[in-house]
Amino acid sequence: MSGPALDVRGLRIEAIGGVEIVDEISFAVNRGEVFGLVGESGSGKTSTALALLGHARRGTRIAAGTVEVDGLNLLTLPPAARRQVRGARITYVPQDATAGLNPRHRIGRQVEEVLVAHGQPRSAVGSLIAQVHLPSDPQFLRRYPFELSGGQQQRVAIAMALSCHPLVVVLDEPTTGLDASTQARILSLLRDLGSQTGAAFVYVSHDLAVVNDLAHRVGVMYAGRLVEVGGREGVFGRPGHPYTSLLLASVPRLSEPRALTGISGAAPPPGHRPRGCAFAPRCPAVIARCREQSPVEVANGDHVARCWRAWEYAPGAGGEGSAPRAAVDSGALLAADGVSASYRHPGRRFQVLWDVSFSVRAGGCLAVVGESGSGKTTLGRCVAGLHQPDGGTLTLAGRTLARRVANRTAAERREIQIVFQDPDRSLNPRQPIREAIGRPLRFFGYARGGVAEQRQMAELLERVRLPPGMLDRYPRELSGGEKQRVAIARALAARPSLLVCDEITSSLDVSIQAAIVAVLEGLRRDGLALLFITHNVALVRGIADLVLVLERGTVREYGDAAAVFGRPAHPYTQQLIASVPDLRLGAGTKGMGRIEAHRRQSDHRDRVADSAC
Amino acid sequence: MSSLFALSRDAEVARSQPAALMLLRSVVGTRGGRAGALLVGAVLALAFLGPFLAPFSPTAIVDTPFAQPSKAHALGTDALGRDGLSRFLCGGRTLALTSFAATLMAYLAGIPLGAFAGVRGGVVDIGAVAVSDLMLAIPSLVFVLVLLAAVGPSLSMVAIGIAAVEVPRVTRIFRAITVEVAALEFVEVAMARGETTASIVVREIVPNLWTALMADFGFRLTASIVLVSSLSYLGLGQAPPAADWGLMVSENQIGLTIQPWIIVVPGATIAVLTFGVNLLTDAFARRLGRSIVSGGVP
Repeated sequence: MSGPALDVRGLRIEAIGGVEIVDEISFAVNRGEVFGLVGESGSGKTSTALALLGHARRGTRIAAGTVEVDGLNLLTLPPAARRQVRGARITYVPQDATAGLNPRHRIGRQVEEVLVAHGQPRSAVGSLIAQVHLPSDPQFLRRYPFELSGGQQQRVAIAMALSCHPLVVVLDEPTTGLDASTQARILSLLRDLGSQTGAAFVYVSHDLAVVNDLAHRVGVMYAGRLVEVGGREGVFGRPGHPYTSLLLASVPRLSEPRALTGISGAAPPPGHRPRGCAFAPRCPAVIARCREQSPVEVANGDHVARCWRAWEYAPGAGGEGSAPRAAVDSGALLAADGVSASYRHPGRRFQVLWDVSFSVRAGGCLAVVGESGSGKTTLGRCVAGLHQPDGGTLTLAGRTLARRVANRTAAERREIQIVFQDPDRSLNPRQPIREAIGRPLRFFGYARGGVAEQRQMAELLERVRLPPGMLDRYPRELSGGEKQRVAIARALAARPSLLVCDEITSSLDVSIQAAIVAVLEGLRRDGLALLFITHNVALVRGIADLVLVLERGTVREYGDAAAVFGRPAHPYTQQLIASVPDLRLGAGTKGMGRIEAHRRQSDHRDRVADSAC
Repeated sequence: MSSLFALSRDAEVARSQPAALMLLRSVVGTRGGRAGALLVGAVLALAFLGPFLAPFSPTAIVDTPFAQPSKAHALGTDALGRDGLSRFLCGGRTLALTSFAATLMAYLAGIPLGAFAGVRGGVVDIGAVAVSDLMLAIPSLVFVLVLLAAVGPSLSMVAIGIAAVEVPRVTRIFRAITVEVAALEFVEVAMARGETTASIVVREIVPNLWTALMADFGFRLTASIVLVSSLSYLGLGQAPPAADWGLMVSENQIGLTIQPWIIVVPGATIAVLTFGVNLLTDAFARRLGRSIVSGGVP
């Protein structure tokens, strides 16, 4: 019974045709241990997670390596035996619990099904459900998945994964789609379950703060390789690989506002990975050898880094407390007074904003934070004139703004520009970048083609740190971060005084997010005011000077950023801040007590929301 | 990560050729698409090259009526003793051209209407949909027959009548797609900038309708082909003595039991054409049934 619960050696997954997706993946997880597998999109972490169950996605195959669960190699088992191991000894919790539950079956029955399939008694349903802190009364078990909140669904999925007392549980981004406070509750549950069940957890995530919060050991993936493996303190405290160091510097921290560095460029997709070290093109510590030879593992105790210059690189400290202040305080640029808004759905009206007031000064940055459904996006749309508020007034530099954008003057439309969340939807797929940026230039009369327009377009790209060669590309040829920069450049082309940023980094990887935030900070220094809408409280810490906290359409707190984050007055703000996992070492259980205190309240809220459906 | 793959690979191809050409290549790459393209290509080649290959004049009387197929007359002769093969070879061009013209006109009117209604929304939208629905309630053939009875039969009126029948269908389809595209943020950005509806339709919407157009084109064309041939069968299209596949069927139906070839061959050719167009359309639709955002590039 000794030896690790899960032992992976030399795992290689290829696309049919031989293109490498991941290679040389080796790590082991002990009983009762949480192993965090972190990586940005395209790093191969989900392919790896599925391979742990002996599964390869369509179009891919596991080409080499072993995956041993308690000494039994899954990859050489015949399919029937492998199925018996899956779900019993090693189980999987997918990212999207909604997709994992059958919408037509009551949840009690679905949990029962797993038990029956593996020869367990049906009666265990109640205790399983209770184990994930859900009510185990028959009434709850008779509910359908759609009658549960996202967090509750994820709990049911976890209960199903635990039903046969597995040795290994693989969780693939189980909290990614959830609110911060729901996420915090799931994480605290997982922490409890880890010590209670003695199972080994493999926690796959792109979120370093969450992994820091939860894991004992951490593996960092980049471009299909495990570039660093070690204990949590080691990897986060003294990273050996430059990628890990830079990734850590990209993560916004609630505890210490500072400039985010970000990593230039983008990770190479499978089939386009360079010879030598795949990180070499983006690495600040690159030497000639990195481009020639694949690096080998360098060990420092049980902490291993795959780098020719392991533990040699330390990134320059990010600028301390750099939230830039505008030089002159020139009074309110945009002021909202008692704004309320609603959505009409055939026959019904849903109020989403109640009596919201705030002001943004020229060159200032107001962060609007809140969970999903708090009305923050609607607020941004009201400011941009894309949604008509029901009441209240918006004034721009003292003049009242019309509610509809069509009734605003050209100057007013020019002054307020908006950048949206989803970069795939914000650029016309049929227009080259030249057209996306050139049109507002011509529309507002700044250019009429020719050399002047060329020069201005190149300048705009430069302001968002894109090369001028981008102009003739189409959106589909750009990465998510590049598209978002183009969207910012397009907004800047109008020469606005206020930029409404609606969750503009939430679909991006953390290193890309940091680079975008750096761009925005540069723009602020040039005097642009920002209305920064986000659910990510930590991200706001570094750039905002004012914060507006929204909960269900109502302002809970409004004031100076340092004051709101330093001494949150409203319980909701306190909860919001407490539920943000922080990267600081030892921050693991910070604020969990407070979360427990709010749990009952929030669970009650979940239930109210459920019954409203 | 398989989608990531497809993206990077397609992105590379994209640099060297426009999306429409890429799409065409990938459609012809499928089995159904290839078969469809072959059938349509063969029938169109026959229709357009046929007149140059005909051994006799399509209107010259060369033998006794309803003569059986022979060495001299591969399809025999028709009710008036004209060479069946020559009439067959000459009879496809007007059908192809008329149906194509009708389809083109339907798009030229229907796409701007649908896009405008979709972007504008509100009363304009409700009105456009209501009028379309009203027109869709009238049977196509009856509508065109009444129109032709009122203004007199001619080929151009046939094309206009069929276009009028198709316009509400085109409007409804492209309105629906426009509503989907108009919800995308780049359209909102254009609205927030203060662009006119016409400018939004032309610059932001229409370029995103091309791929849907390719998938829809086959359906429209097939419907037009069937209508044009029905009308010429009824004697309202191409006037005798000119050769026409639909007309050939009606002219010679009294001799169906004596000399069936003169009816079966043009009828079957029309069937092969519509079948091929459907195969091709199906391949397009499969290829495109993913997302508008990617512009049909999966």
